[in-house]
Amino acid sequence: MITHKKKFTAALLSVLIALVIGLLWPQSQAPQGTNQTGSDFLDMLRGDIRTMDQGFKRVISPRTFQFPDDHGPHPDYKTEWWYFTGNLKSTAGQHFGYQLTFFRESLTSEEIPRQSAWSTAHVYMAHFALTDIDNGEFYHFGRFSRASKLGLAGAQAKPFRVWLEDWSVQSSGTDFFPLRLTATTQNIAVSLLLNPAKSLILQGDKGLSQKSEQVGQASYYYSATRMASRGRIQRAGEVIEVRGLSWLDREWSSYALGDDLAGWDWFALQLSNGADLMYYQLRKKDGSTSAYSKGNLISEKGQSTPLVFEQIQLSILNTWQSPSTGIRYPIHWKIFSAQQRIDLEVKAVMLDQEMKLTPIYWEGAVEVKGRIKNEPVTGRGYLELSGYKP
Amino acid sequence: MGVAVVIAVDLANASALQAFERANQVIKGKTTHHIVGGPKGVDEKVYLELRLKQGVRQSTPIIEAIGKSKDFPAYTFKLIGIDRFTDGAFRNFSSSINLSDENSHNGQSNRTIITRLLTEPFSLLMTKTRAQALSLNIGDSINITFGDRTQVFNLIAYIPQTSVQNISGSHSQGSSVLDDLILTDISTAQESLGLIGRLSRIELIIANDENRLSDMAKIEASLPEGSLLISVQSDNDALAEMSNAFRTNLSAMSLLALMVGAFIIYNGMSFSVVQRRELFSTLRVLGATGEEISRIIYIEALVLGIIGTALGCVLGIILGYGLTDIVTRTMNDLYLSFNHSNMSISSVSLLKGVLLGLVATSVAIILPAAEVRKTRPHIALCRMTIEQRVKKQLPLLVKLGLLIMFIGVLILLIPSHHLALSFIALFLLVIGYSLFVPQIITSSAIRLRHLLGNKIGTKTVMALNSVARSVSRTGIAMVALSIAVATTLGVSIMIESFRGAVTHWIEQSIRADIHISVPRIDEHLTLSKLDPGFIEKLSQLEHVKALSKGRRTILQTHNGEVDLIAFDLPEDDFFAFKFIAGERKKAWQAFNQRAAVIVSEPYAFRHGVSNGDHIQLPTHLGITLFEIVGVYSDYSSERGRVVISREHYQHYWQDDGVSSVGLYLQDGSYEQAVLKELGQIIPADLPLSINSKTAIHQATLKVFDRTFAITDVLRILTVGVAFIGILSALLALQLERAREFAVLRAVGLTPGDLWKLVSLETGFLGAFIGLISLPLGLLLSLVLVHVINRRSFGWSMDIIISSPQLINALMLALLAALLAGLYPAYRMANTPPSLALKAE
Repeated sequence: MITHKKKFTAALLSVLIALVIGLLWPQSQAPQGTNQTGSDFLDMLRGDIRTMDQGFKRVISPRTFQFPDDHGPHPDYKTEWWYFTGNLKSTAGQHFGYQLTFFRESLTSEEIPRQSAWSTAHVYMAHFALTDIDNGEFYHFGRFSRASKLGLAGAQAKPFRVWLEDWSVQSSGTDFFPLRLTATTQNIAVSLLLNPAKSLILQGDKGLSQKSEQVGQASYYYSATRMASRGRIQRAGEVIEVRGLSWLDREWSSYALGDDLAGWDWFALQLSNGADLMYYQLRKKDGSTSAYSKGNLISEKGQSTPLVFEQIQLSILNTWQSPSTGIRYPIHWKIFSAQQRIDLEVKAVMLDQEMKLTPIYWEGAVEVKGRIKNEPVTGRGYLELSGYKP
Repeated sequence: MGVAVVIAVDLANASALQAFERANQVIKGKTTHHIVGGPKGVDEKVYLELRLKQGVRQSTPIIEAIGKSKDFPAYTFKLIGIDRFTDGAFRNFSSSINLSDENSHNGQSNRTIITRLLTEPFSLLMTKTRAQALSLNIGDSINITFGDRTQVFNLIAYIPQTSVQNISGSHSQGSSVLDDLILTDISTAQESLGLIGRLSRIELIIANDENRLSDMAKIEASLPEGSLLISVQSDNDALAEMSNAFRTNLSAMSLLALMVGAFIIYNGMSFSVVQRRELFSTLRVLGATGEEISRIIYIEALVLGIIGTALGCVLGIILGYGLTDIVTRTMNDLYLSFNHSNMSISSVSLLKGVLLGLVATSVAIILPAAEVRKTRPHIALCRMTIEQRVKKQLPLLVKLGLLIMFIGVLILLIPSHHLALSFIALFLLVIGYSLFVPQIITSSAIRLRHLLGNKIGTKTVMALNSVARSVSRTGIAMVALSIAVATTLGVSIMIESFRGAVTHWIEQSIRADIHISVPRIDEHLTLSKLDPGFIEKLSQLEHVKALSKGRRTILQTHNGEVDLIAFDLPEDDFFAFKFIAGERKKAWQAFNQRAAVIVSEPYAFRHGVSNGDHIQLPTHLGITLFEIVGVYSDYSSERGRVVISREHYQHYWQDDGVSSVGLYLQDGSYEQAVLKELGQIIPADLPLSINSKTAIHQATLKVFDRTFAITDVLRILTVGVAFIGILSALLALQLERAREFAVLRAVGLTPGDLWKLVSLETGFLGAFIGLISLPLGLLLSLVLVHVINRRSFGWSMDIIISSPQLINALMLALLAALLAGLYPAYRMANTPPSLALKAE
């Protein structure tokens, strides 16, 4: 009798427990988080023939650059950017790298006139990064905005100004130079005055940078490779006076890249002998390198020597895998050219300079060591690694 | 049954509230504060200042409006104009439309969707579910009317399903909230609403850290006069407070049902024990210990409890579906409009019901089991003992009842806005009173018998005797029934009084013969305006003697929303307000001459202000003090209203919009003629509401009745529960007396006589219960009207007691008791006496 009852009670208990568990079950399912992985710049630059907006101008032949007009936006082309990078040093000897870039993208070639000041046909994206090399800190921020009559973001030639909300680069006077560069976030701010040490350089063929054998797959590209920079960095209330060198890349195009491209590696190096070196390597999806990879070596006096694909040997010395995205980036390179007598080692000053934004890429300050024409050189610069996948 | 009611009400409550809160949460997103700008909205330049100069990153502009489509009259379209670039941090559904994400939705990439949303005028997104319900495909167009503007929109894509799923992890419910949305770019919203240069509001996320106050101060300093930084929390609090009042009312009803349910369980269990007393005694005599027997009873009760609870759960869920609908509709009428609320079966509700059911069963079994354990076997064989013991306990119960009622009254006297406290007091009163019931019934049965003496037949005497005698059996059921009847009476008196007050109020306050008003198309009524040309036309209509203009707007303040009404009223109409405080003539003067307002009673109650006080309102000229020159009675809004003259309103808010017009007709019955004429001059697609005085009257009462529909349902349920209780009690009683009846039959009582006897008995029982319930019912209605209603809504009203209500309550008790007696009587009458005697 007693054992019978115990069994019965146990059965009852288990029924009860099952009931309670059953009731609670649906609530214990956690909602699934979103996992959005951004695609890269290529999507912005690539054109799907089927959906391509035919109204945009294509880059077909070299143009006669008109300054200061060409410093401003080119709304007839789909994509355009103002790309500022630089290496700075404080009076106390601390090293910093910075990046402030503005991208414009046209949404449509046929803008319909509308009443609302919010209406727009252009979207601006800006990225801002600061590498505090000595402290091993990397800060980076991204923003999007519409360009519109409201003035939230935009670009203009006279007087020159490109901005996205309170990040901007603008002429401080009536001339294009000197430029005032300002970027502010809650904890970090950079404010610099940029003065050119060399004249503007037209990249590629008189400023036309062909990216493939296809007509139209090209961009207009000019640079200010060496701008003396001075100003201040603010970090958590601390104000640091800095000096250094900045680099500006300007490019605009419509559907410049082919579908076969996987990404690129871009070097902008400022050397101790006064020379500057730009080189980009276009990586194809099949693992090969595009023959349209190219660059320029600009002497101290501003003479430029084209660096062509056939003459340059790029090799990876070391890689780093991002713990947060799992993407492996080559962050240590050797640039060698027997013909140009270039032998440089380019190495990231800090491993983690991954821009965990939309899109995700690696861009950061590098240091350079090696020989040019047998003379030993050192230098600093920026390296951009795009299109790498986990 | 008790369990079922508790679960049903809880589910309905939870579901409606959840839908309500979810709708709010999905749409408001992570917003912590917003900047509002009174009836004109916020200038978009305020946003530029914030973004460009102040560097306030967590900010986004919003334009909101509610539209209707004449092609789909059953649906509401809640337009939200967003800036996708800044909105992602705020709302899930917009962040899932990602510019760089190439995931394709229905053949278009996200990038394409954003591009089209930004660059194509009048492009919109809606959920796939809603598009399918409207038989719209991507690329189709839809006419939507906002106020007096109709716009053709293009459906360019669906709101991505991923975002729909992400909302609280549940697909179906999230989507139902989003289904009402039409998502557009802010430029399209401005253009389609004619709001060029304006925003509904700017939403902000201000982190709750040590910098919060300085961040807020910085933002506030940068705002122009007329804009205000407000915490979303204060809005939600006000909303929560309102819905809480409603919820507490419902919960109280369900608790009452459970109380009645617990009585029944107790009744049933003790019946089952008492009925088998002989069996148990026999077992005891055979050697089983008291402990063993009571253990058997416990297990039995537990099994019954579990079965009953399980059945209750199932029934509760079914009932819950029905109730959810009713609750939602009520909340729709009272607060906001949202189309659907799916019932969500929350395990918490179920668990609550299950626990209550099991606890009630266990508590109910303690006494009978203890009784069995303690009773000595031979005594247990005799039924009279219990009857006697129960009778001895009755005076004690009365004393206890008095004590409990006293505590209840004390609690009621505590001056507090706390609703729960009032309900506790109410319950104490009910419980205390219910403890009297058995004693009163017993003694009145005995007294009645003495009083009537020999003038009555034997059968009546027998019936009265048995009523008095069988308290132990029927006591609990009597209590249950009297509580049910009293509740019914109390609630119906409350509703009747309420209805009377509302009717009176409508008659008084609605003076114009025809009212024309624009529908509410945005949260703060910024957009609800009548065209001045149209008003001009109205004043020129034949038979129109005079015309009054009103402007209603909802101001957002630090203390929640304020319903502001601006009138240019004739003096007579002003005097039609029923003043509770303040002097009419003085108020009228002040109202016209200075920055003075009159406020409705709920407003005064909620904000703790009275005549002569000053209130702060955010105006276009900055925060301004207004003197309260009167408090008037009003039932239209439970959060209260502030009334100002239109002239002063125009001065302080720089808004000359008109949202309603009252037409005063010449004497004679021109109403229909004017209505007909109106039909001709109003454009067909202008969704104005045009109502005659009588129509408003009817519509208001309709909403009123619908609001109390749930109360009715609960009332019926409670009575139902009590009815089952009394039925089972009577059944038990009569069955046990089978032998007695058999003897009676054997000595010559006909089946008809037996019928009469049983009916008389139950009839007396019912009548006693009915009579006893009346005072309790009145007491309940007093508490409901003067304490609960006032505390939850801030409305005061006179109690209206009508004799039909009292008679109804009596009849209800009588009918329930008689009906419950039917079956036992039938059984008794149809059992051959020999058979019943043979059982011996």
